[in-house]
Parts: sequence; C-alpha cells; structure tokens
Amino acid sequence: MNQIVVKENKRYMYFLPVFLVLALAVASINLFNGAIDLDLEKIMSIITGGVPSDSPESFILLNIRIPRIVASLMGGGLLAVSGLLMQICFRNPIVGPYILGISSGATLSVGIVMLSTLSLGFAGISPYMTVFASFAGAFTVMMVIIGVAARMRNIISLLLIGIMLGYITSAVTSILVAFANAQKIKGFILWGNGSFSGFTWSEVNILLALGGVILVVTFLFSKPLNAFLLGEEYAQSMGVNIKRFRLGIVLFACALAALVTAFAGPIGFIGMAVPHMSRILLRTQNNRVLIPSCMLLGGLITCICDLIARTVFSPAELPLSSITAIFGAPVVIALLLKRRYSL
Amino acid sequence: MNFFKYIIITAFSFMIFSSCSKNSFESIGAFTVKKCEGYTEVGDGIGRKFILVPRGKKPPENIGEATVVYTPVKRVIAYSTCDVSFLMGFGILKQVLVGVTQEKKDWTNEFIRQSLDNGKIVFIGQSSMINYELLKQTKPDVVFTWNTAIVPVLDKMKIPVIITSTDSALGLEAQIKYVKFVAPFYEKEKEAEVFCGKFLKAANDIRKKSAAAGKRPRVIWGDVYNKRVLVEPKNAWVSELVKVSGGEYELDDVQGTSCLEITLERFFLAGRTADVMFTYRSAKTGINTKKQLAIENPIMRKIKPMISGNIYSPKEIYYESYHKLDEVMYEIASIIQPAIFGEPKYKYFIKLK
Repeated sequence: MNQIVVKENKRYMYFLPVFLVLALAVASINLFNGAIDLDLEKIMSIITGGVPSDSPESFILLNIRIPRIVASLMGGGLLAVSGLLMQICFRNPIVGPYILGISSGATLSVGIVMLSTLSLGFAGISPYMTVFASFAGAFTVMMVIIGVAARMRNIISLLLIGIMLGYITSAVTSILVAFANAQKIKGFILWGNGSFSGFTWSEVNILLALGGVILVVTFLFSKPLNAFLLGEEYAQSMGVNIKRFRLGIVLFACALAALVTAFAGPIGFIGMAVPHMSRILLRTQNNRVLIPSCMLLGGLITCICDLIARTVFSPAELPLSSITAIFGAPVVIALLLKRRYSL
Repeated sequence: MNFFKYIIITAFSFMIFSSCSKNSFESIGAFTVKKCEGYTEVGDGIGRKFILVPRGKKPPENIGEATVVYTPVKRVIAYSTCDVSFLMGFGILKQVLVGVTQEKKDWTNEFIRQSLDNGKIVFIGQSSMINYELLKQTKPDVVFTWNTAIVPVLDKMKIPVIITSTDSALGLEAQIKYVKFVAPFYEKEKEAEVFCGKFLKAANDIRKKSAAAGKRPRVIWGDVYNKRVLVEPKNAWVSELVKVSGGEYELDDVQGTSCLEITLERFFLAGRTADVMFTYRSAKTGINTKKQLAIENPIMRKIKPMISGNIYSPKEIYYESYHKLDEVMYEIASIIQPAIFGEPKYKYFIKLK
C-alpha cells in the first residue's frame, strides 16, 4: 500500500477535470446534433418552456435526446467501473464486465422472451418485459457466480466457471434462434447489438439511482481494493476478509454490468478497455483515482461512440457495440504488444 | 503459367459469349440473361455465370468458369418465398419444389404444408443452419438462395447454387423484371414475359392514374422493435411504389442496400408528418394491433398514422405472392390513394385496429 502511495503522482488532478470537461463537451455536441439540429438559443428556450412541450423539437430534446445522452454517460461509466472491479478481482487485464457470463445470461433470457413469447401464450412483448428478462438473466448468472465464489478458493477456477456459464447460455440462445420465427429474429439481433436509443426518463432514473449507490459504495472500498492489488495475504494482514471481499467485488461488478445490460443490451469493450486507458493516462494503480477516472472516461468514450453511431451515417444508426469494438480493440492490442504496465 | 491459362480461358469465354445475340440481353442489376444459339447464359446476383443447356443437348465448349445447368430443372431447393411463389406462378410448384428452409408453420400454401408432412418437400433446416446431408440427399438440380456463405460447400458437392439477391437492384423495376432471371431455369421465358408485362402494365397504370392525384399522402414503411426502428430505404421497391402510387415516401433521406436501422429521432419526425405507415411484421409475430405497437415503443403513440388509424401490416400470404405482384401493387396503391383506386380489398394487408 505504501508503495502505491509513494509512487502516486498528481496527474489525476489534471486529468480528472479534463475528462469531466470533455464529457460535458461531447454531451453538448450530442445535444445539438440529431435528426433536428438545435442551437443553444433553441435548447434554452425548450428547457425554460419557451417552446410548446408538444412541439417536435421539444419532444425530441426532452424525451429522446437528453435521456439518451445521460444514459450513455452513466452507462459507459458503470461498465468501465464494472470492468475495473473484474480486472482487480481476477488480477487479469483482459477480463471485462461480461467475462462471467452476465451478458450471455441476459441475452438468453431476453431471447426466451423475444423469440418464444407466442408459444408461451403472450400476444406480444412489453419493453418492460425485455428489461425485466434481461435483468433476471444477468442476475441469475450473477447469483450462480456468487454462490460459486463463496465456495471457491481459487480465483482462476471461478473465472473458468464464469466463462463456461457464458458458453452454456450462449449455446441455449443459439438453439432458441435456430427454432425462432425469422421475423422475430430481427428484433433480437437489434437488441444484441446494444444501444442507448429509446431510453425513457424512468429508466434513466433507475440507472442513476441504483448505479449511483453501487458506485459510491465501490468508491468507499477503494482502500481495501488497493490492498487487494498487492496480494491476498497483504490484504488479509490489513484486516480484509478476503472471502467476503472477493464476493463483494464480484457482486458489485456483476450488478453494474447487469444494470446497464438490462436497459441497453450488451455493449462490448468499454468495460475492458477503459480501465487500461485510465491506468495508462493517469499512470497509477490507485483505485481511489481509477474509480472516478473510469466513471468519467467510460462515460466520455461511450458518449463519443454513441454520437458516432447515430450521426456518421445519419439518419441510419450504426450498432453501438461495433463502434466501441472498433475503438476498444486497438487499445487492447496496443496494450498486449507494449505491455507498458502490469496489474 | 496460371496467368496465361486465365487469359486463354477468358479469350475463349469471350468468343463463346460474344456469339450471343445482343438483342436478347437482359440486365436486372447484377442479374443478366443472354439468349444464345442453343443455350442461355445467366449471371446471378454475385456475377457467377451459368450456362443453361436444354436437356439432351451438348453444352458449348470452353465455357471457362461457368457452370452448366440442364433445363428445365426438375428438382429445386428454394430459400426465399419469392422464388417459391414464382413456381406457383409458372404452375410447376408440385413438379419441381423438393426443398425449403421454412417449416410447415411458416407456410400458407396448402400443397407445401401437406408436402412437408408427407415428405414430398423436405425442410432442409433454417437458412442459417442447413442440414447439408439432407440437402445432398434431396438431389436438387439447383439451389436458389440469397446466402452466399453456402456457395463453397455446394460447389464442392457439385450442386449449382444461384444467388438471388443483389445490392445493385432493389428498386421497383428490378422487382418487376426479376421473374425474367429465374424463368430460363424452368424454360418458362414466355410465361415470364407475360408476368413481366402484367406487372409493368399495372405499374404504368398506377403511375398514370395517380399522376392527377391532388394530395399526395406521406408514407413510411418500417417497424419498431422495442427501442429500435428498422425502415425501408428510399431506393427499395416498396418506397418507389409509394411514389408511383401517388404518395410521397417520408424517409427519402434514407439510402441503403436493404432495410436498415435509423435513429428514433428521425423515425419520430417522419411519423409526425406521415399519413400512412406499413409495418414489416405479420400478425403471426403477435404485433397485430395498434395497442401492441404502442406497447412495443411508447413513441408510437405520438406518430400521426397511429392517431389516424392508417397502419397496415402484411398478411402471411403477402410473402408468398410475388407472382401476383400486380395485385399487391394495386392493393398498396388503393391503401395510399383510395379515392383513385377504390377501397382496398385487404387480401395482402390488414389495417391494424
């Protein structure tokens, strides 16, 4: 721990405000651009009620665009923090929030709802049912992982069990797709691409409230997280109950990933790449700095990716996961090639 | 050495193919049909060449990379309902169709449903997971598919595979003329001419009658999938038909090679001013009322066709009626301009309640 404190630099004092300003700047660009381009005067007029609330500009800004921006900032941040926790827990730089099958679990239960509701006797599917199914799937996998984590001493075994769970759920999803009606597969594929499109305010509120609470609790654990980085024995000597602590990390990481996936579908690479970018830019392993950094940088990058997804070929919308992958994969490749730091 | 071989084959191919009459050349996007002395040369959606030779006759020599297919083909596997519907149109469905990629529950045609039960027609697996052993066992003369991924496998099996989709021809003209591309495989060129003439006549008639339309209703063609929206681009045949029918396609800034996702904002804007909306999904998927659509995405409640009630969904039979394109076109025209074309008969579409 002393080692970390001694090596601590003050780069975060510059970088964290820069991340915040950039995130706000990208959010503003998002605010102005879309199917209708809005200028500052118009936006202010809409916000202050100068424009009738039933006008298309007002509806688009207040009910489509702003919820989407807030969701992408918050969702990206939560995924990045989830990835950071996973990387600390498994001391493995290539794990991300979905490594333990969270995304596959969510995808399977959404697949059950979207592809087989008719055979189960429902006429159609409510979007809330999709959200519920997604969260239920992610939560079920999470509980299995927690159950296993409580018994396992070996962290690598837990990782492997998580990966196996992911394989099983993906395989069952593939079987569901194989027997599904072709017309229904379209919607399922779209969900699987991940997107912050169509976020409602109630969904944003849930994301902010639940995500915020988990985030604050995670931040409060940054000291034992730092101790954990230096080895389980060291953490134990600092009074950390390793079994419970590891369980807590997995729980928080899974809950954050499940929360975002429930509303936005699986969004790849943010959770894996952003923690690395934070470490490189801030040149630190201190989680007290990395958690807010991941939150800001994750939100910033996701917001940029979302802007690209919805504006580059506007009005066509690109799959968000493709944009995040195009952005994230080179980072991971560069890291593997350079290996400039270690966990 | 390979280079010279390529040059020689190309030269011979050129000599052979240039013997074809220029007048009989037909091009439909990437599809080509060239009538030659004793055979027909067909190019599919990805430009592969097929030499169609009447049964009992010898194929020409030095045909290069082209594949020989003996006509009329007697055993056909078809991926698309479009290709199957032309078999219905030619009156040869019962004789030639031996394999499909849709299960019994997905068909409305009674003969196909029964044949899938009694084994006369084989379900060879969903398009994404074909049972190649079953396919081979079915002994097709030819496979019509939009899936280019199966080409290498079927090439190895020595089964001619024809790609029936192309990015370069999505429009109404291609939709009308497509029948001419499949017809030579069945030696039904004359019938194809009749179909094509009928379709063209219908399109011209619709265009002529709707030219005088005073108000041109604005139309969107797409569907909502929870928080996402898929729409037809302006260059799709249905979008062009909307214009021919005296309407305006509201999403005229959307260009693509197939249906594509657009932002919710753009869909909302289009929906605010649209008079009519056509959806993709048939009632079979459960989205068969306006209420269901509104549950799919609350933004649907805000769009004009939802309020005015002008939302239409295809019936299952629509997907098996490409050989009745003229009827389909008239029904779409009557939905868009009932004052000109009369009240729709709702044979291919339903008005959502």
